[in-house]
Amino acid sequence: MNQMQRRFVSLSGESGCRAAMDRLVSDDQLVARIGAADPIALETFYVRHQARIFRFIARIVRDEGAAEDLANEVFVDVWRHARSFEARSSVNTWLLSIAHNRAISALRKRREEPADDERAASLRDDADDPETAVQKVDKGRLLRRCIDALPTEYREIVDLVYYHELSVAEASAVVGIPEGTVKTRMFNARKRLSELLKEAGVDRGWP
Amino acid sequence: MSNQIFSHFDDEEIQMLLPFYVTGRLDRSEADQIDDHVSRRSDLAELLSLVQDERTAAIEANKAIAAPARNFQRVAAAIATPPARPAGPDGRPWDQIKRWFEMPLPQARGWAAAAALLLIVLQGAAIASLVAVRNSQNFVAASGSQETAGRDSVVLVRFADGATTAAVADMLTGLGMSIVDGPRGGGVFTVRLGAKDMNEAERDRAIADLRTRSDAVTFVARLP
Repeated sequence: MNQMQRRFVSLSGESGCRAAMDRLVSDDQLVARIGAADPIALETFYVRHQARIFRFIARIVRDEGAAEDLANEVFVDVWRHARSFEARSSVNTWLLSIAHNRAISALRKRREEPADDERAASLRDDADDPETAVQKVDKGRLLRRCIDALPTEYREIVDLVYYHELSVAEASAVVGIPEGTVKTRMFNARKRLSELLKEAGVDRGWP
Repeated sequence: MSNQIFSHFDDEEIQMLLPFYVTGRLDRSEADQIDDHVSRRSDLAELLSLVQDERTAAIEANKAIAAPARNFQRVAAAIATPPARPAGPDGRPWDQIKRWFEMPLPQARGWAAAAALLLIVLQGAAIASLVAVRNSQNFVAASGSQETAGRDSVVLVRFADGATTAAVADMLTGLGMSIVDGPRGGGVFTVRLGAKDMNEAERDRAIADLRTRSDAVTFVARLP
């Protein structure tokens, strides 16, 4: 490496190229470059989305070790299929749909999680009676635990809408269900959430 | 809060849209309708507050999951294994190589990125000289560099930023490999692993050998 090159290294840092790309290149451009077999683009894409994709999968499979492997497989899929990405959906929707398929496929391969009712029972165990529950557990924490206790398909739609901020059409594309089903599934998830809260001693007055 | 609060609120469609209203993901006309209802109905405003609480809880539940340390090397390693690929003209390595070299790079790129990329270009220019040297030694026409690659026996390789031309040349000679073209996007070179007729096991071994040289090689992948 000559002096000029060293100067660039010190200016841009070890991963300066990737950092510069991260700041300046859109997801669409990154996917185009990945499709052209550019590993720096893939690494940039990975750094940009890895945490979010890992969380999405971990919330579905409930196993962080498995989620890490599955998240990596998602980016391998991105490498292998980027060239065929045709921008009919957004890159974000495409990426989440790959993650959804990986996670659901992994879930099907192993035995399903404990039944929803069992999880509700475990919520109730934390308190002697509804009043004590409210005193002991702050409502925000209880709400989080009740969301975690939702059945997989409800928990996933709640995460897609609230955390990933998808529209009805985008959630429909990710999960592979009609738009009307997205709305009713979200509605039913929220109703089930109210029931779980009520069982834990908090009546929200809805539905 | 009592169960009667929303007793007269029976518009299920509006209730179904509230989560998307809160996240700002409704189209303009739907959002305007909800705005109109919220301005006229206090019960709806209270229901919106529940939705907002749910959203906050869902975000916190997600953020409570600590993402593992980034380990792109594991992804890079997985890419080096051959994908299950349907047979057909589209999947032929020769066609893929042709498409790869024909693929235009995105035009939109700022000066900062260009400066950062210059490092790779400089290194690439030095390493690319290996292509010319090799070609002259083997009396291969410049335009025929891709023809030197046997089917499936080429991989994409990115060399370490600090790797010198001499180190790369020594390493490749020692492994019986050669650069057949590059650099292209991301400073990637096409490297021939060995004889054109090497079998799958030999290719896997060659890729594994290349990947152990982390001092000089940062990325190895088969053609996507």
